Amino acid sequence: MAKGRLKKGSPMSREDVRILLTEIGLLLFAGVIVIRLLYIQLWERSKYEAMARKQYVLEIPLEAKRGVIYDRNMNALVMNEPCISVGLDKRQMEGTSQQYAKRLAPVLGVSASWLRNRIRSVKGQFVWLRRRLDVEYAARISALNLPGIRLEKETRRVYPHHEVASHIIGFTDVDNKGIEGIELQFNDILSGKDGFITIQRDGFGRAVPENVIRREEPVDGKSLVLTIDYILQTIATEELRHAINLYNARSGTVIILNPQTGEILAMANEPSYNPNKAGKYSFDARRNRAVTDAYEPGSTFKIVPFAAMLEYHLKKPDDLMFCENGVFMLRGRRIRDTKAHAWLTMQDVFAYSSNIGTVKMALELGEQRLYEMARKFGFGRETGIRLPGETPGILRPISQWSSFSLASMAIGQELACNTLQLAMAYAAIANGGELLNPRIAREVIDADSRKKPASYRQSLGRVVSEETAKKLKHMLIRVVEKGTGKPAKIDGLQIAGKTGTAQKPLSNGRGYSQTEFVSSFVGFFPADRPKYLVLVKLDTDQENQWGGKAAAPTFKRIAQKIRVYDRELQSEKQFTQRNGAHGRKVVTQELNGIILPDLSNRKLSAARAILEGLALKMSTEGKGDFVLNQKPAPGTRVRKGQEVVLQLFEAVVSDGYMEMPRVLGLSLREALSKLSMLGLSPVVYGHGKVVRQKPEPGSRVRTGIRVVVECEPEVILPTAVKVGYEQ
Amino acid sequence: MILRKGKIDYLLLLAVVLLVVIGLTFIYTASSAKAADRFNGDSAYFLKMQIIRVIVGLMAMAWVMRVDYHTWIRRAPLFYWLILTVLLFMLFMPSSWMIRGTRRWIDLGFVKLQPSEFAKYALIFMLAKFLSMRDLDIKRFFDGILPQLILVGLICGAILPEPDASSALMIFLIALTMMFAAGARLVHLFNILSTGVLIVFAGFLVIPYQRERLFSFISSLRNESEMSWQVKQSLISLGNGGVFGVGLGQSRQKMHWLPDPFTDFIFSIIGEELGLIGTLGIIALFVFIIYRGFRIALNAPDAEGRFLAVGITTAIGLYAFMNMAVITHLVPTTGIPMPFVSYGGSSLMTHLAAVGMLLNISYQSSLRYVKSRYGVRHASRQYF
Repeated sequence: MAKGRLKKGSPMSREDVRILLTEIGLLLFAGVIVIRLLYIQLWERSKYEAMARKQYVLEIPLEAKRGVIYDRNMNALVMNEPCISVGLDKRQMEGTSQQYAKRLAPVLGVSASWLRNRIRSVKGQFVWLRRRLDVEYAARISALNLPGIRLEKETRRVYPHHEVASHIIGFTDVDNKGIEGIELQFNDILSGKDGFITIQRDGFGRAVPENVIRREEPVDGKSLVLTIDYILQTIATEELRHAINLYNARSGTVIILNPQTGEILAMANEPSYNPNKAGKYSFDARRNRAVTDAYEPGSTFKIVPFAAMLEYHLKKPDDLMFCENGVFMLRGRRIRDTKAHAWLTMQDVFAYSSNIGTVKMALELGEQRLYEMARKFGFGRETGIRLPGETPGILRPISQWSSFSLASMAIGQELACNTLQLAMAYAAIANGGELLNPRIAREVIDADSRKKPASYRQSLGRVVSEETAKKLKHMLIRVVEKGTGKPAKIDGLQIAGKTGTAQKPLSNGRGYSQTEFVSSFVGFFPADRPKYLVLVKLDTDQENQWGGKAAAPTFKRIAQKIRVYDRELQSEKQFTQRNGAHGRKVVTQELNGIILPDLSNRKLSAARAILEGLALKMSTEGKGDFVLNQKPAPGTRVRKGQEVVLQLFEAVVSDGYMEMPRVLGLSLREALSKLSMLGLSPVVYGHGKVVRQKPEPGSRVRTGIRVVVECEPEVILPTAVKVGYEQ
Repeated sequence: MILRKGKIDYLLLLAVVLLVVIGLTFIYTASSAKAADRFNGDSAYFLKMQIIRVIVGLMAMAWVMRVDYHTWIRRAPLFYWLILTVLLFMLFMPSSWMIRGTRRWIDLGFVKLQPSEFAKYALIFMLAKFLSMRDLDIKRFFDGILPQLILVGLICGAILPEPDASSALMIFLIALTMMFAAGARLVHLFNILSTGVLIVFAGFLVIPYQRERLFSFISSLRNESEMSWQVKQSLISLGNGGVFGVGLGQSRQKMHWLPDPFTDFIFSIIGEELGLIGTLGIIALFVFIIYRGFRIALNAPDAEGRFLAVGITTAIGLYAFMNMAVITHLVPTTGIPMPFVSYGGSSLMTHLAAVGMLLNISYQSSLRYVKSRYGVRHASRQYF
């Protein structure tokens, strides 16, 4: 202290000053740290407290079960399948990402370099390596015994019917979120709400199941019953595919709907895709052309000017019109008929689809009335179907029309509609003049199996009077009886319909293609009380352009199959008289292969009815009321009359509770299979052997409850461990 | 009479022992989880290891305390060249001897040593010897500062490629502080400092993981989410501790959240369990040690003792505060242990021995005072 200086008896030496400065420097350093500590431990305290709280708890998601989508007869169109997602907690890694990648790559079926980049590129502590793999992977991955690997049991969507109804149902992404079709449109209803368990964890991410802080059960998604009839959908899919091959078409659409209620019974498109492998298909194959694509309807649109003529009482069906012998000059342009006619009655103008007669009528009608009638029929706006991506089509307001537009539009050019719009327009004629809202969702089934209607029959307004509708219906019957629709005629079943042929407008908007055509036929039956409306649209080449040539026979094949399927149609007198018992057989022979539906978990009686409807033989194995398995597998193409073997099982009557099995000490794989066999869904934590389970073995639990299984690898410690901490 | 008048600085000793005891306490609470995990449930494993070292360290201190500090100065060249040889040998030892991928430690079978800790003190002795030479003019560059600079450069140059840039930087700073205290010209010091820092930074940049640490530190100043896991966990420990801490033994960060919770980052656990009270208490103890150290330097019987005391005190203070600076995210993460507190043998034993030297200097200065007052001729070598 000061004594040192006193002793020397001299003032503070220069060296003393330097030493004091050094001391002050060090104390300043200490001062900076004190300030910093005050800042962290006093000022910013709450921020770090929050960070700490957040990291001490671990949230294990409890996945809500996604709702199932059924057809109107409760056939499942999509199912949930247990699967395994593989994640990696990087903090627990023992080894480099390169080593991990090398060991995991062969098991996960990806390249090591991809895996290494995946591990490295993700910034956080946790990275998903593969999502939603087959459950079989679990055993192989846990056998690797890599620290930090987490296996989460999840479910994934499986579409047992592959291409059938794929455009309607859509598909989900890796997070089970709908991204197309019904899966997208009704995602909120189907997905439900995920739950979670929060538990304490240490820095290795090891959970302590006893320390459950909070548990929120997932709210399972609601199931959806569609208006689709799986059998009709299969018929539509098969016949469309057949027609595509037969008529060398590029693409096509078939819609079957109930014109009385607006319910869509089937909607098939080609090209099509398998939603189980949606990623492998182009957007072109995946889109639901029936609603997303607009096209020029051509002659099928003629219903609009004819409806207007009758509605405004400008003509009667028997009034004669001069059809100019096949060529008519209008404002310097030539309008042609495919076949030259001189004088035709109004209904024959329609039956033979005379362009000249139709245009002359439109001139009489005037722009305003044609436009209004087209609007009333629903052209130029969305039908409102609850499917994603609907196009409103194109119906320009009169102010944008050219002097020739009236004539063009009367014969279905210079405007565009989607296929469903056209079908709904014809449905309005079939049901007596009301434009209906098309329906795709029929019922919603909530968690307690209560059904609630998802849609009602909803009229969008009257298009024409009942009387006009009746006259139009008769004109449509005449088309099939003696006009262009003759190829669609079926003995014993009165059909009303209209053909359509349109050239595709060139993409540059100047004129029409000489090679691309749209052949279409729309019709409904039985004509006296229409129950089915079928629309066939084929994008064909020049050879098969005529509606009567490609679309009408396709319509006929579909209608015949519908008649086989629907006993009500068969019971009609005429039918039984003419064809007797053979009628059914004759038609079923046309079923040239059908995709076998998934019958598992169905009641035997229901399965029998379905197989009978498809004209397939059936035999059973085992006892029981429910189908466990089937041969051939669902989705296989079978021929008519082929035998399907059903394995049956006895449904166990359960009070909804069961005894929790003991899985302690089992390997993860054994535990997983034991639990899933009993219908318990495990939340797996860690890897190796099961060391903890919740609930306790032997306790009474609700069936289907989630079980927390915590595993730890078996570690064999070397006898002598060297310390690596000396410094 | 003489013997009774000669007294050692008990307060300094007390502060050091207090730090050692706090260290042992926190080594136990912070390491029990890891020890139990690693050593079949023996949660006191690391504590036991450290107690052995503390005993060895205290014995070393007691012995050094009784040895005339001039001995170390006199033998400085021997220590210096010996440790330099060891350091050079380590640079060329087979890579199978490397521990955790570096050449910082040397495994003698029963104990692993970190020679840079010993090199630090060998250099302090050497510089104390040079700075106290009567015919050395520290104001001159070529025959004043340069020879010492070469001594510093050799040691740092041998430590830097281990790689251990942080130890090299610390030793360099200690040496520079000693030259400053000895009265070196500020111009010289500034030039040396900038050159040395440049070289060390170049070392940082050449070694990939050091460079990564440096860059991530710089980016973490701008963006907190870029902060390294360790620093983030360290700040969470401190912040969560708040003013009064979560309670002794109640740390949750030691449950595998904070890496190295009982070695370099033990201060974070102290901050978590004892809060601001604990951290400021530790700082107060170090400030007290520094205060006493510099008093000893100012009162030292001669220039050798004076510079030795400055060197030792600076080493202890710089290591302590630099360790805290890392923990509080003021400087990039470096492997600097906290003297007396952190787990680890070399650091503890060298620092305890150094305190022994300080105590010897203080004892001799009090003895000197008595001698001058009562005319006693000899300060015996048997001090106690």
